[in-house]
Amino acid sequence: MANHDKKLVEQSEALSDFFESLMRDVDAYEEQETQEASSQQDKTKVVESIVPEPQARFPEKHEAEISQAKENEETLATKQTISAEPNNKLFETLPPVMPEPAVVEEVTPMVETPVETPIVEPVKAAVPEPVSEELPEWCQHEFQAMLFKVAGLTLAVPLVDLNGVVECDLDDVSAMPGHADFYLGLMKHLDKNVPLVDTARFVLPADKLSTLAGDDPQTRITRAVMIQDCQYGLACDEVNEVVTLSPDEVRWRTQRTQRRWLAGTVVEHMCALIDATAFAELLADRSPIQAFRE
Amino acid sequence: MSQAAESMNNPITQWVTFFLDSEKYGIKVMQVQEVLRMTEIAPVPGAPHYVLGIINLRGNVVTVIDSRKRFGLPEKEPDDSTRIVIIEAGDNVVGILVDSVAEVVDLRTDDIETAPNVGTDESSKYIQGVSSVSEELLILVDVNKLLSDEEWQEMAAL
Repeated sequence: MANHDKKLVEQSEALSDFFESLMRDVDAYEEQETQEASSQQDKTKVVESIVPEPQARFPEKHEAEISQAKENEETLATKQTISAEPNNKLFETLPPVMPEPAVVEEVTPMVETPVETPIVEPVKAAVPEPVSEELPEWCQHEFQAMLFKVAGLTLAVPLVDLNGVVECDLDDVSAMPGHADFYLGLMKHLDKNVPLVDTARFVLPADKLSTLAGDDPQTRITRAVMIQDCQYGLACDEVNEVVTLSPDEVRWRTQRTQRRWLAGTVVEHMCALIDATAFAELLADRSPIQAFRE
Repeated sequence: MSQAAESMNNPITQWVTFFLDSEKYGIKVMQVQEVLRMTEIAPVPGAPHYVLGIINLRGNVVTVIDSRKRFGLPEKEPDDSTRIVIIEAGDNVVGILVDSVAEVVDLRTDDIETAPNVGTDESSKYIQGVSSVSEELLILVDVNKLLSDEEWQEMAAL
């Protein structure tokens, strides 16, 4: 009995550790996003500060050119004064010194080139497109979710996305060759062949997958949680109670580029709330297997 | 609908079924040349990992593929029920080593479902579909896609 209690405590501690790491991941991700956003703002500021620079230079250069031209004019005036003297040789040399329009032509290209090409375009390319997931409709008000466990992690699936829970014997599941390790195969349910997913292998981050090394899904998996009109079955270790959650209790993830299946986390129940639609989309995605865990 | 019209719209195809790691697979009967008992297979150095070797089939050299390896299944020592199924895939004639050969089944086109893709590996494009035959799931294999074009070329060069 004491051993059993000790085991329970150990399991609970392990679960807390994992949940904390999951939360840390989410926090780190959000921080990263905030940093990216602020660095993006900084970049824009830099660009703003860089762009006017050539404009500021322009008058200087222009003034320089103008002063140069003035000097030329003065020289010319002097020379013209000199030219008033009856000296034909000197008079002949004057016309080449006068190219006023040529001076203007030289100024313009020098100003335009630095403004357009090198600064603005790379910044435009560096702007990341914000990936924003709208929160599903069911989370706008109080909703119910069923808790279930996979490899020690508690997940919650909203009842609106749940199509049923069925007993699952892996002996009756037909394994399909050449698929990801989290794909257990096809199971018969209501005359349909439903793909069964080892949820633990799908949701656990790469560094936690080692905990499943040498794991036999046959001994772990007991039930399948059906989602998306029984399009997919999520294999789980045990099914727990149904809880009522208010939107405030959930720490929602609105920007999702990684783990799109994770709608949010519920601290009170130490569980991760799944977005069944995103989950199904990820499963249906024919991307290379590695892309699923990125 | 008359029977003739049904056969036109929903034709019957015949499939040779075999077992691999307790799962039942099927390949089109028209692509199966013959089924051989396990025989001596001469290994070919430098061949891909899924190639077991070559056999002499009435004077012709035929490459034998280990279908367990190709399908990513655990290895198994050949036994009395192990068979080599000689198949035609395009211009290629190859043998595939299977756990056992079961029967020939008739399937109507409507009975064949598309296999759901979940985390599909490139190499699993050979799964043409699935069908339920007497409460059992039959995985239908397109032998032409068993190997990629490059792999077929490599096979021909062996």
